[in-house]
Amino acid sequence: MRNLHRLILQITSFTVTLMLATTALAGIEYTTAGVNVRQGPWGRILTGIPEGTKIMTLSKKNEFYRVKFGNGRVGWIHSKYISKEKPKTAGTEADYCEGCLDPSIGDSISSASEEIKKMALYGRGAACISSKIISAAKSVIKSRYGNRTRGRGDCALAVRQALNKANVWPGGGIGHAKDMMPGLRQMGFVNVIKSGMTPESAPEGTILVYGKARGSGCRGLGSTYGHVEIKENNNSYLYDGKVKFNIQKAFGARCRPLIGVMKMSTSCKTCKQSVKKSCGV
Amino acid sequence: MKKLILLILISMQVNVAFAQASAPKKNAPVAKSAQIGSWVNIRADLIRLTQQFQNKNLSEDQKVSLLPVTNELLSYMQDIQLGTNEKMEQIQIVVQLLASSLEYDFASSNADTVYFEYAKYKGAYIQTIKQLTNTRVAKELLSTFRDLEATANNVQSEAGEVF
Repeated sequence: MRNLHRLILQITSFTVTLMLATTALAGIEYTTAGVNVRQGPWGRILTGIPEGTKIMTLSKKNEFYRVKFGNGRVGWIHSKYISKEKPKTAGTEADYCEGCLDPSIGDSISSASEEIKKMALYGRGAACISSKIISAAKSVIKSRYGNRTRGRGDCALAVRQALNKANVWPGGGIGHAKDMMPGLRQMGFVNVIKSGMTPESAPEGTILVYGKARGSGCRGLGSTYGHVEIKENNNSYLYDGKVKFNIQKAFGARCRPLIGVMKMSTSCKTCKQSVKKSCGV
Repeated sequence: MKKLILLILISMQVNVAFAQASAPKKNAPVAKSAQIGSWVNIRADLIRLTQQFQNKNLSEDQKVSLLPVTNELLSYMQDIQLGTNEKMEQIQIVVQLLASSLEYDFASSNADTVYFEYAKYKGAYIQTIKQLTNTRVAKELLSTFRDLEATANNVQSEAGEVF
């Protein structure tokens, strides 16, 4: 009996110590740069969050912190980019994105259908933002890629540059082409892909995301990293060139499977206020 | 065995692609693939594809429709082990194909498909490209490979820790 009491006392003491340690670690902090959120230390990239985003550190493993951000999402961030003090620059670029990571715009299908419903109500604003992205993409192709009519392997970079120029995304890289969907969701895009949808049947103004190749007979950088392009219409696809055909025309659906048809939703979460204001969202 | 079956299927696909692309032209060449799976057969198909891309009677759409099968062949080609002389010949044939398809290859897909081969035999590829009679095409091809190389080296910049 006495042994049992001792055991209970020891367990209670251990639990209290553990709780205290966790509490001591948990705290409100800020990201000091636009930073990747990973599934685990050096694990798969889940998304990216802008500089100055409020986070709660939960635990630490080597150089990574397990953090809570947005409305309860959890991931791992490198300790180098976390600070107790809010970065001074965050007041301008990142402030408008604080708390923008609403899990209701997350990965679930139900939340996507909710967004589609909202889109029907506020379609004009979203279309206005899409049109700004297309204009920005054309401008980027002109200024950075010499107005070429051929892509040359910089699709993810060029699409991100277009989103930067359109003031839809303030940060930098959001993953390889095939990994861009979480980042795009964070901005307010919704995946409207349906069974049997092809690049030709995908709506105009959407961002088409292609995954890595399935099966043999596919090689090269794109087969590993996927592809991303902005569909202006069926005769114009924009990435690091303005091209007449979608990528499946060159590689087929097996080597470049369409995995995401990303459409801007009602609220562009990471848009600058000026964009929101001019598009009425 | 699985690869052999795949190569047979690809070769059949090549025949169909040739037949479709050559539809407007009478007596168009159609690949006869009695023996599949060797460099000899793929070599013949790649040469025929080069001719198709050079064929002025084919429309842009018809030439674009040859790209997927070209990429598949270029991909399977890389599985075949060759001696030095055959490898040099292979590089010549590939470069001729890249040059003839360049105008229609809107995504630099052929160059992308052979990129890792290019990286492995860079010197030989560059030398062969420089021997092309069309200097504009040669420049464009070299610059395409340079861009792909930069992408391969900087690919972490879009997925790095800080962006």
